[in-house]
Amino acid sequence: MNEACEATRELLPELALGILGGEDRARALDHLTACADCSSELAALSRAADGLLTLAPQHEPPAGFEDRVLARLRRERPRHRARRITTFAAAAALIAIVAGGSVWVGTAHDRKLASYYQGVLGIAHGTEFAAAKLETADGISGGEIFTYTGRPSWVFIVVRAPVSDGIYQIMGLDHGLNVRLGVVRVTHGNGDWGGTTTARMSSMSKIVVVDQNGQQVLHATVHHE
Amino acid sequence: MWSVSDEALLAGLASGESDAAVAFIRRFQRRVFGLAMTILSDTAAAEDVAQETFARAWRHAGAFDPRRGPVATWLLAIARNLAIDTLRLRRADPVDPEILVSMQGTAPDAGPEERALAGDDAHRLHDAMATLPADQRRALVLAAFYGKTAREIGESENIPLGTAKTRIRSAMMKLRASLQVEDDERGM
Repeated sequence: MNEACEATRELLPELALGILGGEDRARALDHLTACADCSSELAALSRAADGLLTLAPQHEPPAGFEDRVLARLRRERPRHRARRITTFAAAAALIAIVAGGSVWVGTAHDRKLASYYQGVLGIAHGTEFAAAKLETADGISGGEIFTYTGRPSWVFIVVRAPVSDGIYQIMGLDHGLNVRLGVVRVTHGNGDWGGTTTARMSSMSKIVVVDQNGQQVLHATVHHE
Repeated sequence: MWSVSDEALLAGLASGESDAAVAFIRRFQRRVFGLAMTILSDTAAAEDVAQETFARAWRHAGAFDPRRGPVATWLLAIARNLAIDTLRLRRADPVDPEILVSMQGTAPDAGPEERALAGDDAHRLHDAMATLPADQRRALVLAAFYGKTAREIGESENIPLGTAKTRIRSAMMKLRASLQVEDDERGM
């Protein structure tokens, strides 16, 4: 166990409990991507942290609970699909608008929106904002990625099922070169990560999410202006 | 239906089989609602959290990885995170964590695998919790059930940040060791 392991071990109990934030969390996750021993220690601590929840006293829910849950599942099935389509359509529209003056703008509302996003970009010397869907090799949606090129440039990524729980590296492909952007931890089917980067986001053609064995689990093609 | 494994029921729930959904809800509702009540102490808010927990389990069943633990702990972790989000919105003070010390573990209607796995873990963890010094136990409960950070625990307990971190770490290492002993005895 080296110095980096020792420093990480200090943070693992809080990471396992889900209460570690900020730079400490980023530093720990960064180390975990390359250290199997510390990852297995985190797994053991997470087992204890999650196991604690089974000690809570049981309690009968109010009458009719089961029927209300079932009704909700029935209601959500079609709506869930519609919402995802709407979100994607909104993201696509946003990219089209942000892509700039070359896009034909049809209505006063659209012009107002375009002007608004030009203002948004201007705040941090931005030249581009892009969003793309992350997909598995089978084309199943597994999250979204948002990138901003400015001073500073930044990346925000959301990863969810069907990606399994674990720690993943986020890599960008810049003209055939792999650039490491960050690390995301997926817990209970959800993970997100965001941070600034010195990488030039406007020249990233592809973003990939890679597991600890180097296997690609998600990819996104990013379209630029 | 009760002999069906937790994992099979989860898979059935995800694929939209109504019998599996009913059985899944019946098997876990007392634990999910109980945890939400423990954290929130409010029936209506706890029901909202419990309903959303089952909805998320249905949506994200594909992310469940049996290598990382049983279905019950996966589901309860979802409930815990949702309850903590609600707690933060309400800015409510958590209940006295001492009430959690007397907690009893395994459910009488737990699935067969879970009785074998989580049941043992639960009893080990219960015993380990009982032997912790009271200040470490409080810090651990505030973190594990109420999502309090070390800084927040330091403030509420009126202790330095370093002390809060040490209490959390010491408690977690003892719990982790209690499970390790179990694995060694089993020859795992």
